Amino acid sequence: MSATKFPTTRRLRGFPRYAFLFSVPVLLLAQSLFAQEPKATADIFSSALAQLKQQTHLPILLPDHLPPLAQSSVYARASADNDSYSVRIESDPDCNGANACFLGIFRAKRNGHLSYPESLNLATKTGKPVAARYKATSCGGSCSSPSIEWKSNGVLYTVQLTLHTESEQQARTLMTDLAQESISAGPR
Amino acid sequence: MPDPITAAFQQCQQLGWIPFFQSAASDNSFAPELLMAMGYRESNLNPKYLTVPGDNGHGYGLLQVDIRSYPDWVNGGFWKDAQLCISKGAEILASKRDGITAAIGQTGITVKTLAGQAFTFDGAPISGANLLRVTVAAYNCGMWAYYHYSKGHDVDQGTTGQDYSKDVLNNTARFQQLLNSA
Repeated sequence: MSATKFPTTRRLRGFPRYAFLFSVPVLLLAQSLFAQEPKATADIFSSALAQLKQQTHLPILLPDHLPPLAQSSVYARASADNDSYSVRIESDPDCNGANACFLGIFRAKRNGHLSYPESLNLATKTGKPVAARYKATSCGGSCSSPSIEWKSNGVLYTVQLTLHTESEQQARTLMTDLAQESISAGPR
Repeated sequence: MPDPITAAFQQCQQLGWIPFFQSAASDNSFAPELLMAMGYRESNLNPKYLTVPGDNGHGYGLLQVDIRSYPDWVNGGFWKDAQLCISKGAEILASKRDGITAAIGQTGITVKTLAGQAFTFDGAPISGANLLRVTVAAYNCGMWAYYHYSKGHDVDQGTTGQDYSKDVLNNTARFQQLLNSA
């Protein structure tokens, strides 16, 4: 197994996609056998989390571990305001938001609405199920990765990940587990 | 140092790609700056993606044409040619526009996920700027863009990062400025 090195910071280029007032890009490089093994999110999101806590009043929900992603290098950038936050993860430090190097996004928005086509219930530690909705990979010329969304205390949470999986069914299972883990872990 | 969009545009000029965008746009009744903005969103217009796939090995070329939807085109190696990438992207985009236009007013339209699950919706009236926005979103997520539009949702709900058409159309204005000043 290769050595894990955290964090390696580099100078950031512009990231115009996020125009939130208090946007502060955060960059972490996680090098490991990431495509084959789940990765502890603390390794990836620690700096982003510190920024988000300063910029938003929303409860920040993240899983303890990420499922296997498509690439071994992960760069996280966070942005937030009072009523929303997002953490985008990419495989290239100069990705500039391109789909080619998109690995995923964690978003939260106050007063958002569930809109994905498939309804499901997430199990939680309290025993009270949480209503959620799911969309599988969807394609036009390019493709959009699977996503899951759920509401908690008036906040819409959405996670979309480019997973390293063998099937759409496996992706659905991993995304559902991730959402349940995020809820059970509670606000960060 | 130029901003990333200006840098990408200047690289397109240096590599002689601008006429490819103009020709593909003209052939399919789009603006060249729209195709450039889509290429930027898909690949940063980085020539690296003429040699290696992106999106977990699924997206090929400057417009990240997906091998799951267009296996013959990808396996034919056409994605290694910038001009063919741009013309294929424009052709696919036009097919999305035509598909949405043909579905306007229809009931019980079926859309399927890659997992094979089918969902239905009724096609809402759409034209002009909204049709363009949904068409752009459909390049990334197919008829799901029209599904969300018809359901009254944000058309980017089903796209990568939930901001695909918004981002492309914002950057279209930037590329238009650069084209006009070139």
